[in-house]
Amino acid sequence: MEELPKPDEMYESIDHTPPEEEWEKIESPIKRGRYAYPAKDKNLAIMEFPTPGEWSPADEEWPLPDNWQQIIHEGFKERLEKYRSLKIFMDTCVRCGACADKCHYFIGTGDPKNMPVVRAELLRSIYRNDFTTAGKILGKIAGGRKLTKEVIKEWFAYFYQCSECRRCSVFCPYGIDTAEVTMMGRELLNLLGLNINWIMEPVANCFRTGNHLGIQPHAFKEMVEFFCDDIEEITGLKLNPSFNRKGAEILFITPSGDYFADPGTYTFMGYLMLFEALGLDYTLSTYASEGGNFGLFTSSDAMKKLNSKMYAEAKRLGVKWILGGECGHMWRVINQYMDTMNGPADFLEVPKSPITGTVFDNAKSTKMVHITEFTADLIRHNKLKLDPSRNDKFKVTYHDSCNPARAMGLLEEPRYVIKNVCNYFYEMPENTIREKTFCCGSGSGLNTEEVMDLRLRGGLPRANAVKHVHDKYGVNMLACICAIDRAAFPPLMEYWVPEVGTTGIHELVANALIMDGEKERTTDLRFESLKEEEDEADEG
Amino acid sequence: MNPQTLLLEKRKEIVNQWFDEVIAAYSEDGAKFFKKTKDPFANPVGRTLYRCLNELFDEVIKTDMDKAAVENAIDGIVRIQSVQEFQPSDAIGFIFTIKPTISQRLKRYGDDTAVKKYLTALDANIERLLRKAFDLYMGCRQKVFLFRANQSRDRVRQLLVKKGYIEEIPEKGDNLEDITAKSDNK
Repeated sequence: MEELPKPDEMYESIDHTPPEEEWEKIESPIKRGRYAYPAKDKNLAIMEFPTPGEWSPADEEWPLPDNWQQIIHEGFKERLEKYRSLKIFMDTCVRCGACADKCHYFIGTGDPKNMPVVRAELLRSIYRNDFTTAGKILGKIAGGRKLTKEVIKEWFAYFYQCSECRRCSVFCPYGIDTAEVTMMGRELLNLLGLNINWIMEPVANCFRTGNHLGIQPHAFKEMVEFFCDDIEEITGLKLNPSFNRKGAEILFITPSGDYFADPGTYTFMGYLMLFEALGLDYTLSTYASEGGNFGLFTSSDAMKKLNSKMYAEAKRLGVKWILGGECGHMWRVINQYMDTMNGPADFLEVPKSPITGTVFDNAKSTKMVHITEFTADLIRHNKLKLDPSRNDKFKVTYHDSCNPARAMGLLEEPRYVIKNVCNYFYEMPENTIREKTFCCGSGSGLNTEEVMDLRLRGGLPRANAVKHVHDKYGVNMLACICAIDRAAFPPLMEYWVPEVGTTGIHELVANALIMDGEKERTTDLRFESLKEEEDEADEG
Repeated sequence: MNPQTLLLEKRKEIVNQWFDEVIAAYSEDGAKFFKKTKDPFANPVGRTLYRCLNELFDEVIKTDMDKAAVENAIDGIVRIQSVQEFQPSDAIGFIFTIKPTISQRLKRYGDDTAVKKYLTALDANIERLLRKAFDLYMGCRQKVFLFRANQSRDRVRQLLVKKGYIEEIPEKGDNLEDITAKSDNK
């Protein structure tokens, strides 16, 4: 936590000087490259959201229903009654400005509406106007403004320029969770059917087929088997992971990004190798084949539906507890929302490592353990044979993925694991890591190609810190524990620091892991030589 | 009187003015932040622009510019501005603003032959900077479009390859010979 300012300091820090220009008057053009493509009706329909038909944010006239104002007003009212947190967030801000320059999108653009305080003000001004006595009487003087079609456009523009990373919240003396303000803004837009396809398609696919891309069960199984073939080639060991096996002790769930896109696939291979080395009694599910939950970026109802699948599957299979992979926002859903949405998961047991006997009391209610906690515990109890020199060609730094860091406080375990499997580890500057970590710039469903510019400028603060450790220590590998990171970093690094690659932690673990009966390793999981010089010699 | 020495004496003043002109292209709040926040990790845009303008100033006033240093400094600025929704001409516009700033400083020595000669050489330098900036800007934009195209292509392609629905010609190894042999037999 940031050290809280004393009351006097806080009071003195409040800038009472009104801005020279009123923020409401600053134009927010909706232009190509700044917005993600709108959600398709078919994806909205399956989730029972309103379907506005085909439209584009660049259109002058948006397809709003006749009673759109009433829909927003009633939706806002319902949420204010339902979530006390929302009401507090709407009432509490004193505009101290502590959050203003903490958002990576503001830092990368200089656009004042990307200041978290102003982004929240987009919603707050309507709240004041419609729901507070002062606002109802005094209107603009009390900071209120009328709900117009332009406001809706502005919401769409800026609530989809927030990656819900919550860095700003760390600096807020009142703990206002700006991500939740964005979530509410997006929920209200959903009531009008205004969403983006990059979010809605994964939600619909996950709901219907089980994962973001709509990968069918047999294809999922074949892909995992393909990884096993690669592992056999590298280690000489034949792995036979089970699928949908009833009675397994543990159900393992990870984001689909780990099995359909490089470099996440190497992380998936890492999990498989670790479990094999331990002889773990676990199973994969072709139904709960997605750890990610884009419902979080849509509405609480969608989030709840997608989250419930994981627990329904755990129940159906009769496992004791769930082990979760290197995902980002999955952990925010599990750690902060699951319990009140679908919990408590009292049909499961409090997770206990079958290898070390450690009971994970922190997961007593959700029954779901993060894999870096699990692995850190194994290392702590000397249960893994490791040769960190196999990672010697990597000079590693660690990006605290936003949600595991800020939503569950997972700061030490990933570092502990990396330091035990790698000999060269370097931290980025203090104000860019741990709870103050900078977002990859592509979180909360903004990882789509049409907003590549936005992602690159939003990711600049993170890339800039990576560049610093690259220049200073020769860092050439960026480790993270989030599938969106693993998809977002390759282009981000190639643009800002092309010499730095991206990896999940369990890829590094598996490189270092000495498995019983394995043949002498000559390559890492990417089929590249273990030593840098050999790669270069090969090329020569 | 050496114009270069004269400009070096006013270095801080000139670069600060140049920096102010560059950040004036941003919103008022953005510009204020880019200027005030000194921590390079909290403010990568402002600090990178400032550092690169300093480096560029040191080169542009020379009669013999260091190519690598020029490229490095321009790249730092253009790489940022090419993903910030600037028009192409604006993203490389920072180069135009240095000329009047320098000329203004040397105005009162306008009749001096050495200064006249120096200003002509400066014009040539600025032209070189512009060409370099244009190339770098285009390189950045091409990269952005490449990322977009690659993401779009790879999303499904990797799956098809992994599932064996696509069999591509291998890079090297026995398979390649098999394929060649097959086509030779036809």
